[in-house]
Amino acid sequence: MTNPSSEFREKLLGVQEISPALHDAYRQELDAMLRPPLTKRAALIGAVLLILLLGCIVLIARADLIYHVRGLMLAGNIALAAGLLCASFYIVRDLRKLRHSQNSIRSIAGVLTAAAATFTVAALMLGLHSPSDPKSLFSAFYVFVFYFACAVWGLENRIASAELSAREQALRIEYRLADLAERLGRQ
Amino acid sequence: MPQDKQLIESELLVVRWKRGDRSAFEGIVKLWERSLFYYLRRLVSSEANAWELLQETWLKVFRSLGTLREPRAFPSFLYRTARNAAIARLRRPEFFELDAEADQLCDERGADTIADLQDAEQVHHALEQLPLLQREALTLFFLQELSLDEMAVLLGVPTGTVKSRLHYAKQAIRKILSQGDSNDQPLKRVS
Repeated sequence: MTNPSSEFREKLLGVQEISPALHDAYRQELDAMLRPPLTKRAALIGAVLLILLLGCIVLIARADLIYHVRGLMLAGNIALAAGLLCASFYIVRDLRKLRHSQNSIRSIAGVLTAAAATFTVAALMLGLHSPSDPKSLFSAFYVFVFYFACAVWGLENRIASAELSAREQALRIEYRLADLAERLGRQ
Repeated sequence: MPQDKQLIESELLVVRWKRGDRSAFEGIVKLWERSLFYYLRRLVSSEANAWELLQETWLKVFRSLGTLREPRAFPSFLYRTARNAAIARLRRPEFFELDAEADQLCDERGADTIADLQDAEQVHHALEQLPLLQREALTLFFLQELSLDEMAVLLGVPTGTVKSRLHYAKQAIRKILSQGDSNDQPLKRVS
């Protein structure tokens, strides 16, 4: 079965009559659609997550103040609270702009992983200072689980992002080659 | 734009969109808008309906593009979304019933050429006089954006059926064009 030429296709598309009024109305609707407001569901999830994160920050601050946490533990807590605060900032920013951004999700994953890693190091070092204390063991265990969860989430995001990035580069090269082939064909 | 280049650009835009570049969607719309409108316009009787369906298609694509695992499969995904939107809107029984005449298996593949179908304007008007299933298959064939296998998946029929549908559509369009020639008058648009 023979295929029609690209030229014929272009001619066929060119013959199609279009009403400018209908086209303009469609364009207006489409422009509004391409800048969509944040959906209620996404906004609700963001708000709940924000409350949770802020709640955790308050609890960390409360624990530091009541139990007079000092030294490495305080440094770990501060790192974790800073990470949570940073993640909260990304959520507030998206909620204020009424948009849902994939980049924000990646940033939150990265920030939380970094905070969890710092906190894990602090907890492990604290454990080294008092190895006979069961608190150190429990602390290290819980912190490590938290870090592992954050690391898996962050890693998945990074792998997906790296795969897409590599593919984008390959496609850009492929596109340039196709463009070059087209130009050479015209000459 | 050659089809290979268009497909690469389309895939690139989908990858960019998946990476979080929201402006890529406008590029996707720009790239596919004309051919998708042409396809939808062949399915519905009025231009206003075609624009509405096109808008509905973009909305559905915008919402579900994140679920598309393989960016290369975007053309099939796009046409499937458009076709489903058209079916849902029109509820035309022709989409669901087999057109026995159109789907008869054909053994005359040798004569299946489109060399004589060169006048785009005449073909465009003649397309509208074909039965819906033949018109749809031939429109997809002329737009060259899907392979026969992809067309078969989109139309929900075996590849052999797509081939025979195309064969009969070409026969029918030749007949319409020859009638137009013998009458020596322009073909009327059926709407």
